[in-house]
Formats: sequence, structure tokens, C-alpha cells
Amino acid sequence: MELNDRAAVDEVLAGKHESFRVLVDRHGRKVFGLAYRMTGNEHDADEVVQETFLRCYKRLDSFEARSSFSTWLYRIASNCALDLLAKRKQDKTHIVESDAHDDELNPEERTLEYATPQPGPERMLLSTELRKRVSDAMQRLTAVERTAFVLRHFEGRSISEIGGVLKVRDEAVKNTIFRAVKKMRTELEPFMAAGSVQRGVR
Amino acid sequence: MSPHLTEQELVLHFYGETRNAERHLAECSTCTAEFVQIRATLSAIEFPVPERAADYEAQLWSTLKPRLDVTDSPKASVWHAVLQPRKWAIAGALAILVVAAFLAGRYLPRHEQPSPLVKVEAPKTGNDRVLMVAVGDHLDRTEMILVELANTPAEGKIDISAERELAQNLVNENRLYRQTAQRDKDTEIANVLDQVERVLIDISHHPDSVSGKELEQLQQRIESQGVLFKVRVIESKVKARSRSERAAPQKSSDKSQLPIVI
Repeated sequence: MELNDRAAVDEVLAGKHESFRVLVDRHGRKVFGLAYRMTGNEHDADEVVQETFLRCYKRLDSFEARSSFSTWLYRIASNCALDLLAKRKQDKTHIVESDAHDDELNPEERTLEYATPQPGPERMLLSTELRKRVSDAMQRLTAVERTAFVLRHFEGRSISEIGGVLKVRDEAVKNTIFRAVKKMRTELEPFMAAGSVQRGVR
Repeated sequence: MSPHLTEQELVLHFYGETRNAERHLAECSTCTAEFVQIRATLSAIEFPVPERAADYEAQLWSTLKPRLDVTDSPKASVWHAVLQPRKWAIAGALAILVVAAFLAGRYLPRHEQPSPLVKVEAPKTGNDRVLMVAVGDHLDRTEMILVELANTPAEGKIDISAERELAQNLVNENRLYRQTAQRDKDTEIANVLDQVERVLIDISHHPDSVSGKELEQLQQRIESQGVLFKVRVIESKVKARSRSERAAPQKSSDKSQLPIVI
């Protein structure tokens, strides 16, 4: 019988370390998805995934069994992603130069930084330009806004789960999501109004 | 007809977080037009995740496994045990013991010399490690707020309700950790936590929405005291200490030293 998360945690804590694999197998892809959307590129996302599971393993004894393991893991993953983003932000010169280079020389290069080498059929529907603008708009969100927006918009997490991740009340989560959406609209709507995108494509 | 829906209500309606918006939209063309635009924009926001290989989990495990092997194995802590539902009975018994000890301390006649029982110390290594992990997490969250505020552009009206609430939540935790550090004569940590506490209180006393000037003043206060830098330094020290204490031999596992065994 397949172990549930809590039982797997108990087994690891009891010394059966191989049971940690159950948690990696079950949550690895989801953590990657979150990390990718938070960081914007595969390399950083892979780094976040590994750091998340390492931190999770090290702190497993502080996991409160009454809470949801996935919410706890998402909180760790969000913090790992936020740490990495903060680290990247420290090298501001590099980012600014990279942005300027992308904007002036090759507008698609930057998109490629966030894109994947194997576009699926769904992605074919989206224009490169829209993806670039979404990426750029998300870069302009603050870390908390991006966390709340990614968790709600892409990951479909409930307001209270996001509150659990960010450690704030539901009302504050709603405000943060709204702030993020407002910024995204400001960035994207002029472009969309110009008719450069197929409305309703998702 | 009910009053028009706000932009926030329309956004929340898109995410299925409102109850009565549907009824209003059915009879209000203004709000419907606004909602259609919001839906079109939000529906177009995609950020596809690259496909992972079919054996992604196996690859991930093979990368992680060697790193986990050189990491100290996690062991069930007192907290984990206590917080498991089936252990609530034990937790209840412990609570009774604590209350009994408190009452005994309060009402029994005091001796001039401290009782030998007072000299029995809790398993310091294990407790310290749990404390260090908790302080590390606390500093993580504190750093997140400070980074967030430091990097928010000070223009127009800025909603800092999330940061303010986080700060409010962290003030009490911070006080406890600071008092513990002071009690343990850990001056370095106590001093930084003292500064952090002032900043957290400062943040939590702000309104949900601040002007650019107010935010700028707050950013200057944070920057002038170098709090963010100090938090990062102390955070890395706390985490290093937590790791070294985990690696240290568990002398406290000698049960004869334990006042309470769960």
C-alpha cells in the first residue's frame, strides 16, 4: 500500500530514510513547477528543488504533523525561491546590463532565458512576445506578490494555503493577489489592447 | 441593483473567491464589461512549465540521495512527538505536570537554598538545536519582510498590509527568542533580535497603505541601522550553529540527565 505523506515522514524520522523518496516522487514535479514560475528559469528552478528537499529533510523533525505536508513543503520551496531571488538581486548590475542587452540587441533572447527547448502544443498558441511580457511583468512584482500570484494563478492554491505559506491572514493574501494582478494588468493590457494577442487563450 | 463591484472583487471573482458577484454581473453591464477585460487578461497569463523527463523523479532522487547521505538524519523531536494526534494524551499529561510544577513552585514554602531539582538541566543540545532551527526560520521570515520593503519602489500609495501583518505576527515570536537569548547570555543574538524587534514594531505600527514618503522613511530607518545585513549575518551563524549542534554527539541522550522522558 502506498504511504501517505504523514506516514512517510514518520518512517523517515523513525530511521527508514529510504521513505523520503516517497515524498520526493510525489512532490518533485509540483515543486519544480512552483520553482520555475517563481525564478523564471530551469537552472534556478532545479537548484530550488534540490535545496527545498534538502531543507525539508533537515527540518523534518520540525514538521508539525497536524498541518499539511504539501503546504509545509510549498512554504519551504517558496522560501528557497525567495532566497535565490534575493541572491540574484544582489548582483543588480548584472541584471540591469542583461536587461539592457536583451532589450537592445535581441528581444527574444531574454524570452529564451525563461523558455524551454521543447515547446508543447499549448505553448505554441502563445506568442513569444506575450510570454516575454508576462515574464517581464512577473519580474516587476515584489517577492511576496510573486509568491501569492504564482500560488493562486498557476498553482491553484487556496487563499488559506497561501496564507499558510506567507504566514498572513486571508485578507492580506487577497490584497497581495490583487496588488499583483493590478500590476500585471498595467503591464499587459496596453499590449493586449493593441490586438497583438488572441484573447481568451489559456 | 446592488452597488458596483470593485476591481478587487472582480479579480477575486475570477479566482472563485467571491460569493455574490455572479448575481450582480447578471444585471450590470458596466461591471460585466470590466470583468470581461479582467478575465481576458488573466486568462492570457500563462507561464508554461517545461516538460520534465518521464524519469524525472528517479533523476532527482539520484541527485539528492548522495547529498542526503552526508546530511545528518532527521530524528523525531519532542515537538513532532507531542504534536502527533495520537500523542495528545501524553501532551495532556505533560501539561498537567507543568501546571502542577508551577503551582508547587508558587505555593510550597521556599527554601533559602535552591532545591537540587532546580539544578537538573534539560537536555541542552537537543533543546538548543530545536531553538536554533526555530530562530533560523524566524530570521528567514524577518529577512523576507525587510527585503520586500527595501525593494518596494516608494511611489504613490503603497499597500504594505501583508508585510505589516507578517511583522505583527513576528513581534511576539521575536520577543520570546530575544528573552531566551538574553537569559542564555547570548549577547550577539540578543542584540540583533532587540534591533529586529524595534523594526518589526515600527513596521506593524504603520497603516496598511502608506505614502511613498512614509515608505522611504521606513526604508531609510532599516538601512541606516544595517538591520538587514545584521539579520543575514546572524541568520547564517544561527544556521551554522544549528548544523554543528546536530552533528555534535548527543550527550543528553543519557536518560539519567533527563528530567522528563517522553
